[in-house]
Amino acid sequence: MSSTEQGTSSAAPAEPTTAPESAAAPEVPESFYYVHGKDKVVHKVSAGALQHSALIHGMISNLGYTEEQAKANPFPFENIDGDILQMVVDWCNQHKGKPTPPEDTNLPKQKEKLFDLVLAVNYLEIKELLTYCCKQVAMMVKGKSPEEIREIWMIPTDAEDEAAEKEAKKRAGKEAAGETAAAAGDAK
Amino acid sequence: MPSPGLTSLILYDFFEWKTAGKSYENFRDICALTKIPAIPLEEFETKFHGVLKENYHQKLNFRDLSKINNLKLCIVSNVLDGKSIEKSYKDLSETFGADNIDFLDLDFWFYRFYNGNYDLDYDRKLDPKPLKFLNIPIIIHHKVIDNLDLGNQLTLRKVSKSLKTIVDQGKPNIKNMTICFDSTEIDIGFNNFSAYYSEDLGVDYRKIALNHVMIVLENPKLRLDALQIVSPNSIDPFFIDFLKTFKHKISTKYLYLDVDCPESTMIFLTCIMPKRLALNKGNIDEIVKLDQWKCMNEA
Repeated sequence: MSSTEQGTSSAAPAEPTTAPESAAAPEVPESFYYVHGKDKVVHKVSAGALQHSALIHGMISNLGYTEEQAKANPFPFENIDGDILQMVVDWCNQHKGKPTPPEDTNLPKQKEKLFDLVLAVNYLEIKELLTYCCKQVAMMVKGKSPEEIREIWMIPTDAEDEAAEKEAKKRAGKEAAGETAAAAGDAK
Repeated sequence: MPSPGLTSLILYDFFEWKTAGKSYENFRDICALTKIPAIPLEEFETKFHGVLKENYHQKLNFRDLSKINNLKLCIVSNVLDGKSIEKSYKDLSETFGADNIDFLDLDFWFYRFYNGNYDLDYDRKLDPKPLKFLNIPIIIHHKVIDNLDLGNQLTLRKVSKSLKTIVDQGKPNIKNMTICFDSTEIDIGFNNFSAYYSEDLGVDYRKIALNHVMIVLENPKLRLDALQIVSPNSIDPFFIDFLKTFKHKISTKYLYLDVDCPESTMIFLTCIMPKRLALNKGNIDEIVKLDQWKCMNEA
């Protein structure tokens, strides 16, 4: 509290002229930005909500991206599915300017959606949401047996891993042989 | 040439008490939607009665007839009849046998047709592959695993070699660690878990036990509250070699060392950075010369 305010509060009736400046200041209109995912559906998000994303916040503050520019050219996130971006936008709107709670029960329960959400949130650098998502992914396997974990997280068996590795090596060998043959053909 | 699923459709219609005429009407409706060529009524009737005869003589292979490519016309027929997925599964199971119906396939095609996609040749290999845990970045793997306690982390290590590597590279959720060497056994304690490795195992139990310890200790992310090492004898030479080649200092708030071998005590102290030290045996003159002594709060 400033010294002026302290002085005011000790005086009996507060005069309108000594009221805090913020109360008298005209409200600044909230600015909005636009984002779209793979499905090209444009989402309108307030600058306050976008504060959660370090990536978008950086684009706005460091690159000087104005509201007008954003309206004409929404931020394109082609690597994020439309429904996942919608979830992220909803979360940012719900937690705009609020302290984030220790738990978030609104995260998707389907593992595929949750993994997609984790990727998107990691890309958009939304620290708190990433923490919730990681916790949720961990809770999926808490107290489960190795076989159940394999199924839930879709982990291949060692034999499947080895077969995939062999296949990859075989393919790489074939590609290398193909490139050598093409180079020899070019030389001729 | 008749459609590959026609035999299945006829059999299914027959089980649904449809006459040849009604079945043909059904087939024509399906052909109009799926764009497969229709056949004349006479040809259909011949086929219809042929299928019934084969069914009567038990010459039909129901396993083949219920393969998904043969079943698609029946599923379209169910969608056209306004059946639910449950009713569809029940009726198909009654005709072809429940063991022969793959519900996941049925579910996929049922809802595909239900949503107006009647392309029978759609290749499911083109479906987007679901994202798996191992496809997400390794930094996230570690953030996830950090949320699990030691018991769950140890279970993860049993799932596969690839997951074991990830767990071993992450921050171990171990706060208290005890290593007790004996001439016939080694006891290792991690938090509330303890494991005993003894001669009874019939293998090189010391190597197995210390390998487990080494995996944990060589993790630079390990932050212990307490480390306790007790040995009435000299320590195994290969463990000493491991400690000698150690590239970082083990971080622990409290170290209790009770090793009956001054040389081993010194080796332990050179690769451990404790804040508090409790020592049963050791040459204090040598210990005070170590850098660790300067960083220690209490000894």
